[in-house]
Amino acid sequence: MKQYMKSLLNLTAFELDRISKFLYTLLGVTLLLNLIGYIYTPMRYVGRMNEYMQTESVTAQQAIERFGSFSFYDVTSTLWLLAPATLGISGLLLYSLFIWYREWMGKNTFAYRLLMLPVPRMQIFYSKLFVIYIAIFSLIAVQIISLTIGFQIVSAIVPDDWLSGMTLVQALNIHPLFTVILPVSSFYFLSANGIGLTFMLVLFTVILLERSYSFKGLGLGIAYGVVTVLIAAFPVFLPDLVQNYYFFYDSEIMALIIVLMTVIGVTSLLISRHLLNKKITI
Amino acid sequence: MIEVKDIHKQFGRKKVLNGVSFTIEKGEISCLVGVNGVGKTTILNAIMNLTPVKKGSVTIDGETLVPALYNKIAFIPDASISLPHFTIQESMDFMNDYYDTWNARRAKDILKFFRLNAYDKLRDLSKGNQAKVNLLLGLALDVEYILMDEPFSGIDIFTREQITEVFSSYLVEDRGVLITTHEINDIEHLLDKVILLDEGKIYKEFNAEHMRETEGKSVIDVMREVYTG
Amino acid sequence: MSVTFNKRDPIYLQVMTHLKKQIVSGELKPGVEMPSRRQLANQLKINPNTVQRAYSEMEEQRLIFTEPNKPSRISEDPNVLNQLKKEWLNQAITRFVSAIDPIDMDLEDLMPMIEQELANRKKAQK
Repeated sequence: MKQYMKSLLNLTAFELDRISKFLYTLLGVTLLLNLIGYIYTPMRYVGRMNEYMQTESVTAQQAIERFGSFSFYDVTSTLWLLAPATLGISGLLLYSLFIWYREWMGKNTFAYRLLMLPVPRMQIFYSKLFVIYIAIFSLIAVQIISLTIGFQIVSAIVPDDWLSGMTLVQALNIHPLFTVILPVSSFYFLSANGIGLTFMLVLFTVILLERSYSFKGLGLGIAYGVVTVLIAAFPVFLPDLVQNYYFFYDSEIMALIIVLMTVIGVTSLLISRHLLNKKITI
Repeated sequence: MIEVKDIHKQFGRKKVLNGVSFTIEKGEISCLVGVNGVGKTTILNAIMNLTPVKKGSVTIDGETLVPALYNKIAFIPDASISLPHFTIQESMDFMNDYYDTWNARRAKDILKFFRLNAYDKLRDLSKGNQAKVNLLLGLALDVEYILMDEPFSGIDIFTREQITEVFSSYLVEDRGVLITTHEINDIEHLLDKVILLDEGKIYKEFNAEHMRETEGKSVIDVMREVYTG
Repeated sequence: MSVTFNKRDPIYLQVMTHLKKQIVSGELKPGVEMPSRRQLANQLKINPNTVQRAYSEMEEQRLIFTEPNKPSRISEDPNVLNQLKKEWLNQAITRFVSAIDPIDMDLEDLMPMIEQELANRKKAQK
């Protein structure tokens, strides 16, 4: 058991080292673009207000009536924040493919080394999964820190009277992306993570199917992906099927989705283990 | 003993292995020879559980291969199996992290024997030196069986000579060694057993010295009969 | 030390011939320790099992002997060594005679030529 943990930690640290450059870049880009957003967006607002007040010789109150008061949401809804967050999500999604395919790329087939390690092969799977999750949560953590600091910066740039008084949490709660990917509402955050984890397990299984059976495997994998989505979404359409919208409580449907996603997750793990142990091809 | 029993393998419609059986004994150097085709590498991959076979079985001292046995049997493929941005030292440290049978002292000996610098990055090495690193990473394991895929392909003559020397050294002594090659010329006198593969089948399996003694034929003579006759 | 082996004769016989030559020439003196099976294999760049075979054959012919847990040594038995020299010489003469056989020549004519060759060799060795 101790040996098992040791090699799993070793492998995870190893994978972490390999993702580090990419992850630092994502984090750096996020912080940099966010920072520009925190400064540029309120400055532009303040600039407009001042210019308007000067050229039209109106009071601040009148200017606010013209431009509206400034809220943190005005910052979070700009591309300065949306773009790096989207980049982070899509970057990690692509990396989830790359983290496997890199082992077979070029003339350096590191897959040989990994598959011949004297440790259970699922450890390769887990280490890759852990590292994706470490990256996801690093991005989330950095995004939260960035937003907290950003809120202060914005509050410092815009005169208090011009601010709408919206809190940071309020600004995030009405945000279409951050309310899901950041732990603002526990319901959305847990759902996103549950769906995310199941998605990753299915994605890894599809990759391993492709690695085991090549073209045929890709077909199988896509079929598997479609079937899992249908199964997971099935409870949502249950009321339509029984043509009775009061037969199930929302919480029951929710519970059913959770059970089905757990089944999908465990099935994916079992399939992956079988493929890694018996079917994978160098 | 490694026992390969009746393995079959197909890539698409092409039958690559068509019922291949042979054994590899400890303390012997065996050579899998085939003039062309992908069969040889596929056999090694199959032994190492790196590709599934349709039929048949492989056992190592009676056991089917599970990951723990990678401490007992090592494979040196004809491709770099460390990371290009790693130094040789980092590659060795990586091995040390996972393999109980990693022998750091022997690794150091081999490093010296091959005149390699531990702090060179793999991507900066010549092809010959990369092949040597590959050998180093396999030979420094205290394993009982070593498989090597085409250890002499695509390298210069002096590297070849050095690698040949490995086979008569303590580095492989008492182990069971299986190498594949398509050109046997320089290594004939190093071999115990020769396994001739053709069209996915074992054509002939013989002891090289025994062949010389009883029929006065070199390994190449026998190959010539099989492949051109 | 390097030996070129031919590919059609058993290597162990070629190794034996090589060692016998060293014994008759005195390069390997009676009672001297033989290199280990691995050392010799490494020197000659051949399979250790082949050297093993050569050693066992030579042991059978009592040219070398091995005490338990000790390296093999060259025989000190003068009978065995003389026998070996005789054998070596016989073989050489057989080969020599069969080589000059096509040329019809008397021994008297041959002798000076052989003497000349021997002298040349000795000079070259110095």
